[in-house]
Amino acid sequence: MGDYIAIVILVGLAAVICGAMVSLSFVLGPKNTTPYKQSPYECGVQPLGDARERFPIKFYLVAMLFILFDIEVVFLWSWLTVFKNADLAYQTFSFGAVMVYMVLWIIGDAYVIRVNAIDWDETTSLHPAKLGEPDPAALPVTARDLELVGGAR
Amino acid sequence: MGGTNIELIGWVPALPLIGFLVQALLGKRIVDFFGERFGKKLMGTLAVLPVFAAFVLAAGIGMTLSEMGPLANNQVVTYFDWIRISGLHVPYEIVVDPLSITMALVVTGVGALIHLYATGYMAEERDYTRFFTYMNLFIGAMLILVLGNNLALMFIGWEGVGLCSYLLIGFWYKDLANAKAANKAFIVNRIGDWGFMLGMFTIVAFIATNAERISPRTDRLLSFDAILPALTTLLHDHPAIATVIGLLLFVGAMGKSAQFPLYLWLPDAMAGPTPVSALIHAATMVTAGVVMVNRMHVVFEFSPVASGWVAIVGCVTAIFAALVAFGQTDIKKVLAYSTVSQLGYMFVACGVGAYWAGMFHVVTHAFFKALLFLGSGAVIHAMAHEQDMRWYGNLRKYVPITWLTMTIGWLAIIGFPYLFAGFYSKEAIIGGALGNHHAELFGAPVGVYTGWLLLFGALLTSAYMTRLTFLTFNSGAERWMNPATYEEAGTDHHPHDDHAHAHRHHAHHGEDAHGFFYTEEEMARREALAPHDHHHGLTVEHRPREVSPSMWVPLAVLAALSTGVTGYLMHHGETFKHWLYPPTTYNETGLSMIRNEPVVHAEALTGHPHGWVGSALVFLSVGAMLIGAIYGYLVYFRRLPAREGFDLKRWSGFRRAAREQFYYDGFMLKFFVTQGGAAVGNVLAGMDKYVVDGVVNACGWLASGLGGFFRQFQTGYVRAYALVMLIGGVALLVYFATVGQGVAR
Amino acid sequence: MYNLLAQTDGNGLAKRLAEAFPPPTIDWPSILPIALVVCTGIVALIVEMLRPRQNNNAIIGFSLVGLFFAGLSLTSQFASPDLESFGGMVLRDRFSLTIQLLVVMVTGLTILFSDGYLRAKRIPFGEFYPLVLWSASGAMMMASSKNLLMIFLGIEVLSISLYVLAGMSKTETKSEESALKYFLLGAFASAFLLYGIAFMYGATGSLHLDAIRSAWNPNDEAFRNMMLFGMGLMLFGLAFKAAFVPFHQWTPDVYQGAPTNVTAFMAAGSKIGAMAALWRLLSASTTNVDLGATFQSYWMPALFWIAILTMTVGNLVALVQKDVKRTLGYSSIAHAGYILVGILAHVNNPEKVGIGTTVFYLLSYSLMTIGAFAVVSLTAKNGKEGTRFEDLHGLWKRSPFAVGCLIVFVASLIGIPPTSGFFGKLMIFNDALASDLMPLAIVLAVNSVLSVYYYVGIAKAAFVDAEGARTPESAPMNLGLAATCLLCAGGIFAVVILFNPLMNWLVGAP
Repeated sequence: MGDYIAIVILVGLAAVICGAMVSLSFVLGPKNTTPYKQSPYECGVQPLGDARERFPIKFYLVAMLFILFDIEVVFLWSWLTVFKNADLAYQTFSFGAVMVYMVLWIIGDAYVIRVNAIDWDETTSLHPAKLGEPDPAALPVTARDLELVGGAR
Repeated sequence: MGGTNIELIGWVPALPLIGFLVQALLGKRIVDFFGERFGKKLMGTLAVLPVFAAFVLAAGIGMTLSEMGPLANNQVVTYFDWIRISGLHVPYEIVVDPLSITMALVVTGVGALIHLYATGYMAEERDYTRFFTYMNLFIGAMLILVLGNNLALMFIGWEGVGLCSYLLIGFWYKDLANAKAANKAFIVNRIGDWGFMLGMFTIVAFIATNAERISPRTDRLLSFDAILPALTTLLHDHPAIATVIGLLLFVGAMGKSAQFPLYLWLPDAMAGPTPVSALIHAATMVTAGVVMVNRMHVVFEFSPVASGWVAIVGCVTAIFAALVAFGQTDIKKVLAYSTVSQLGYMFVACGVGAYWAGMFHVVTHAFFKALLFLGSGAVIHAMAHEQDMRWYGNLRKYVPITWLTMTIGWLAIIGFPYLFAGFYSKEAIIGGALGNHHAELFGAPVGVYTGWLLLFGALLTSAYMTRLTFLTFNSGAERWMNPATYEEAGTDHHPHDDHAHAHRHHAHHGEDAHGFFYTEEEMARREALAPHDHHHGLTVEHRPREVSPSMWVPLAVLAALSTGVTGYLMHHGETFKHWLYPPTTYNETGLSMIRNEPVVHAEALTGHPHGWVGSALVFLSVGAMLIGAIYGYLVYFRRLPAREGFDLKRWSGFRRAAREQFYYDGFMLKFFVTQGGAAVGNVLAGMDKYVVDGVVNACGWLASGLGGFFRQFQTGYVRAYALVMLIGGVALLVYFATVGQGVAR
Repeated sequence: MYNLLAQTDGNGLAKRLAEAFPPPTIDWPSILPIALVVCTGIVALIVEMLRPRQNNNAIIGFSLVGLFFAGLSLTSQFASPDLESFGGMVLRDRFSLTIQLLVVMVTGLTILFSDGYLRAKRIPFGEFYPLVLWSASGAMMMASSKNLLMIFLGIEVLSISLYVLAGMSKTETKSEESALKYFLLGAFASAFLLYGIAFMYGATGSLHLDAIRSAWNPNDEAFRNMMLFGMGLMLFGLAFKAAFVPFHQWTPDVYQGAPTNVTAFMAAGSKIGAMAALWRLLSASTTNVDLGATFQSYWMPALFWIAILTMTVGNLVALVQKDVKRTLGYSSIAHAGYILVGILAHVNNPEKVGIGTTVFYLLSYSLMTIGAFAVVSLTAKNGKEGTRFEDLHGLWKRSPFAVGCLIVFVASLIGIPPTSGFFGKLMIFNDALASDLMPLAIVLAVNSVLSVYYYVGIAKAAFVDAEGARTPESAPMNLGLAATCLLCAGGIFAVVILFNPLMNWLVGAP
């Protein structure tokens, strides 16, 4: 049993964290119920209807970012299994290499946050600050449009 | 004179060429500067002088040469390198030997006389200096042709005279007929040039490939003094090559010398001014073919076959042209066909091996034919540019000098015995032909047959020349006073030559007879110079007048040269023959001894036929002449209706056919020019349109079509692209798995 | 790996691990150029995050400086000996240095004219610069390794950046379309490439090209077929990248849709990388006759036909195009065919024919293609861009300098002396003859003639008067674009004038 105590702790931690996340968001989050949110799959997709339907590309973006974290974890875990038993020379080298990787990864994350890639907001993908001098005639999304959707930052 | 340095020979062609430059570069300015009257006189003098000087120089050199003896009389004077490449060396070199000097003397002598004549004949011509520019250039080119010591120079001269001939036939180029005639001459001559060039190339190739067999080795593969001995050595074993070269060279001669299939251009060439006809199309240029055959006679000596063809073509031409001459009413046309016919005689002489006789006839013919042409020119001049003999009649009253000189020319060409030059040369030809055994085709002695035919030809010559002389000078009334006769008679009148047509319907609208426009001032000046009515047709009031001295003096000189004195001097003791072909190197027939064949027939040594024919030759030829002359006299003097140039009732079918050259010209025109030309044109246009354009367009269509085809795969659908990629990849793998396994290794 | 972990026991594992994962010998200079480019990209990204608004100048400056130093580090290594470091992952030889230098040059030229174009097109995203730098690093990786995984990695780094770049003009449907097409088909091709690499590994137990070469055994049928399958699948992947027919169909669509500066980089940089990798693969896949049937005797005929198809189809379809960028896209397909001929000529007879021709051609091709696209980029203004032939009308009045340069580029693309395009084609032609590939030489010559039509059409369009033009007048010349045009046009002549010293330096004295 002693060998498995760590797993029990892990399960417990996971349960606590999950419970905390769900309950805290329920307690602290604003309550703004809509019929969609009351539906069984409250992810913004219409639960009933044609299977061949279009859904926001944001899902892909989030999925990709999620995969990045997955990859990071997989990579770090496999590296760690080798690292802990290796000799010093390899440990030094591989640690440096993984640190470089992590730095790059963190810069990438910083960029993702900076460009609001994880903001669930239609406007962030076309941030007016990046569109050069505003030219209402040429701009596909005008400043007025942005005001209307309330996305101006 | 006898001490003239041979080195000076270079000046002989150079002088007329300098004259040409003077005329071309300064002529117009000088005439403008000195005024038309004096300027033309000056330029005329400047045109005659170099030719005459060249004649004097050539005569001096000829005397020097004659003193050098037969073994030394073949000098080559080299001036500078013209072409020098590996394996071929062509210098600018001049050969001084009897043949070249003879021709040089004829060209410069007759040329000087005709130049002199032309100063009078062309006096009213606006483009006076342009005329003499061409004339001097012609003399220069002709001298290069006859004096050049290699085939390349000869070819330059050959083309040069062709060019001048073209330019001078088309001298009045605004007349469409003249321009067409010039083009005809030029184009027909290209066929001959093709043969000449191929012959030249064959010689070079033949000698170059057998270079090891000749000594001394030489890279002057075109120079006569190198190639003639080489050919003598080499052709012994290659008679077929001799035949090929001979026939090719003869094709060249046929073009230039107007032999049967290619004679067509010469009658039309009479569109040029009459001095041109006399100089180029009678006396000199057209004999270039004979000169060339004489120059290259070694080749023909080795090929009885080629010689046979030369004789046959010459004979056919002689008879055919003589027959056609009967149908002509234009005085110059008659003389043109007469020239063609006489050239045929010369080629028969060359074909049967009597080369010297051919040259002999060239010389005498130059004299009397130039005389006849100039005389006809004088008649035309006197008759206000009317050329139709049917409009003439009884002209001896009006132009006595012309009549006298032309009568001498007439007697010379028909071969009046002993007293006239033509008799000697013609008898030499007929005798050579009847007695010779050189020309052979399929084992038949072609020479003998041609000899008999030429005898008949002599009869025809005699008849049609008598017709010409009597119609012009003797017979009947002065028909020009009664111009309506012929139109009514239904024989249409084609005044397509010289000045005739334009003057008939001419009105002075600032344009002269040939469409050359004058400015108002020029017109006024011309009107002042020449009486207004001078250019109008003759009327009852307006009588023909004798020509100016500048025109009749050459006539007189040529008449003197056409008399028997010349012929006798040249014929007596075979002077001319031994001058050209010394007996030390040539046997009696004129064939060189290089063949080293025993002479089978002892009689052949004389160059005359054996047996009764030999002894009766004189009587035969005189008899033929007499029959023809008497026939002509009877028909065209005695029996001719007083007011008509033709007895329309008899021989009309033959005459019409003869007038149309027995439809040969029409056939050729139709077959090769209008319809054939159109057909070829269609074929070529079709080629161009459908094949060339088609290929080009097809390439375009194919390219864009294929492009469009491939573009169809470019649907824009990713799934389609992926499919194509997949197919490509699968094909690659399938290839590796199957075909590649077999291909490998 | 499984066996390794099965015998888990304390020290033994550590020992085995140490044997399995030795710290590699490291030659830092050999990856310095790539590292510099990548780091420049990272720095550029950081600058992008921190920059003042609407100003890319700092990013451009950093990028160009970084490229300059990368180029400097490359040139400084020309004298160094060939070596492999990082456990055979990174290779430094003359070819890799040359190709990397070409990529750096191409990237620099692209960046130089990008700013004005992106502003005119209203997409002045700072991300362009890091992305193009990373993409370049991918191309550099492809050239500087003999390890198949590294090559694959290079391709992916190159491609993924390009997928993003192609879709950079987010508001244009055709740009997004091109990005998606490129991505989908690229992924498709990458899968094949990876599958091929797997086959190779399965057959030989190694990912290193030298090991693969030495493992060739034509007499073992199973092994041979595995190798051949691997080769075929890898050729699929590389042929996609290099745009050989029939793997070319993405090219015109993507070239047309992508922003013009991206297209320029794609046409030059991406092609250089793909050709370098192809050359590595092909020259490693040639074996001696002693072993029996040579490896190349299997794939050479296939590539022979692919070369013919590529040249011909590229040119033929270009004839019927109405869009300049599309035409240039097909032209780049045809040029890929020409380059393939050069590579095949070299591989077919390495003793007689060097790789110098291909390198020279890549250099001259890059110069003229980037130059041509740079001039075409002038048609963009106020967020709009017309790339049909009509849209070039009147250009000669507005910017004669650009048109003058365009004529040089077109002349070089056609192959008119004394431009480098002519000498490049001539050399390929000679090489093909020297290497007994006469049919390819003939097809090349015929295609050169074919191509004249549409190239002249491009130049002609610039000279037609602008009346009736459908798009607004193009943007005026800017300094960067002028510099690019000048460098490219000058380079086209310079590489001819300096031919001998340049080739000695790039590929070593023969």
